[in-house]
Amino acid sequence: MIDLHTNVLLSAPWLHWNTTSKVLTLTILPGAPKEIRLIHNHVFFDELRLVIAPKCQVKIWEMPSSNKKTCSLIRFIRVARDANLTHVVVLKNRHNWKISSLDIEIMKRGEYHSQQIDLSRSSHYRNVSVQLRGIEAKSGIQAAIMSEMAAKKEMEVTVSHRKPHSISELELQGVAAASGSMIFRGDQTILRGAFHSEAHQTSRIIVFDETCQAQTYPILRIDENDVQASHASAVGKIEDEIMFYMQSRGLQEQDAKRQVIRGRFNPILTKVFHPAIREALFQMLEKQVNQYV
Amino acid sequence: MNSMKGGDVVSTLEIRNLSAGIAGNSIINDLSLIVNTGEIHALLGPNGHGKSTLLNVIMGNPLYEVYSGDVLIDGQSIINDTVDQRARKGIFLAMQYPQEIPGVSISDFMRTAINANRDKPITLFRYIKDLETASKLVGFEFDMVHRSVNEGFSGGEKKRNEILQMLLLKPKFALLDEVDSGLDVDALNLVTAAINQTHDQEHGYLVVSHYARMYHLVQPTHVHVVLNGHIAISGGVELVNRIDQEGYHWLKQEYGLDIADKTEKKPMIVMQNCAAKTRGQPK
Repeated sequence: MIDLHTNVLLSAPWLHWNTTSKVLTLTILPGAPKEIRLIHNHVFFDELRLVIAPKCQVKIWEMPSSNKKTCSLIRFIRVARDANLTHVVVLKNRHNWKISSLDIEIMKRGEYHSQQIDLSRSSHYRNVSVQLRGIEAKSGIQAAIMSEMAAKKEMEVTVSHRKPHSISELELQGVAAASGSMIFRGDQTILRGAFHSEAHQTSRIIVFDETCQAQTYPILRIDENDVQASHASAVGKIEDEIMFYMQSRGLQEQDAKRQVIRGRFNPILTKVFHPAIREALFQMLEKQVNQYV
Repeated sequence: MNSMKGGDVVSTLEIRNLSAGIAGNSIINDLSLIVNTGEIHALLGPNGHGKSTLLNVIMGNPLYEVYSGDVLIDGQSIINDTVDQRARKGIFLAMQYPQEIPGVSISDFMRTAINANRDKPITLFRYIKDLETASKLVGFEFDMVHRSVNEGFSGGEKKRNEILQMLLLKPKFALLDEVDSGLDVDALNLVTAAINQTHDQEHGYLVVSHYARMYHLVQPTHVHVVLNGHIAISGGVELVNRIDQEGYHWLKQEYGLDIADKTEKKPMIVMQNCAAKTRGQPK
């Protein structure tokens, strides 16, 4: 695993970089290490762009520090043809970032897989825009978000299928507790000409009590025939039938709720490829859930 | 209070003059029944007459209302206990429609459930051994226990999972609500063998099934017919055989028992044109 301090640019053969007017563009070339951590608490540029070169396979995770007032997350990603990027974003501390946005372009047979995890106690609006520009381009975004302590979390993901045989999947698992609120918009468009494409999305938010609010807006726009698309969306408290089932095995109400919440988040957290971060997230989730259950 | 029977301690589940229903509609009417450990009680009866409701009320399902009467274990009322308290006192309900719990593995779920019933947590070694044994008994591949509870399971797998949970939790009184539905012949043999294996003086069963085959494989010590929300007649296995051959109508002729029609009344749907579309000018 490599820590890539973007303010100490490496002269590694697998990394190419250039800057223009406070925009830093990093290109990851074949031969890069399989796992890269981006630590970009930089002050010299405003925007970080990332290009994954053709046939390059890489896993990148970013867990930005909280000492900047503006968001320092990656703003743009281009996944070139036959490249494969796994991208983990973790927000777990208090931070002052109100807004972050990420534009992604995926070229022919390129794949982008992301776990976006936000267990922080700060309000945040995140916009992710995905352009599937190549045939057989794939995008899978999973988000696990907890909103508590009156935080307002909003996530908007838009996906455009521009070429045939492209696939996109969105999944949100959310929990709103202690006056927290959450909004999720999943907007997938299959444009004319993108035949044999697939767009699927699921969003599920558990609302703890009447002090919390949650809304989901699943949107599918289909301009082509012969495609597959589906959406599922649910907002509400944990179903009474599930609580009865679990309690009938001897679990107390609190233990049952904890298990259900872990069950919603665990499949996403277990995909965080870095073991130490994964373990830290499990512990943090446990701590937060115990506070509200 | 526990009593001694042949050297074994016998526990008792007593349903005393119970009346219960749902949303103001009475389903169970003044029903009384005593089940001792070591006994297998079969409940038969037409659809909608209260068999599943009775099991749910014993388990404490909050969907149902208790109007009067009591449920007791060893003389102690459990009617005001929560569902989990009843479970920890030894009641287990194998459900007709088991719930799916996404992301919670059978293995984690059952370990938490077992520990909820113990003062000292079960050791991992002991737990895995128990899980392996129970999986074999119900014909589960061991990998199944790492899957989410009932998620994507077939009807038969869900029922086998219910019995797996029963084997692990070892309840004093197991309430089995149509565990044979959805099972093929081989699975039914496995499940009933698992029930028979755990049947001893420390465990009692209240079994609901519509099928004689189930009661031939799990031989009941007592058979009851539930009609109109109470036990209309009790007997032995001969009752199962007669109902299997003749249905329930002989109860009216021989005992004067009126069998209310409890089949769900659905509103008649009338298909009508909601709009008329005219092409061209009528001639």
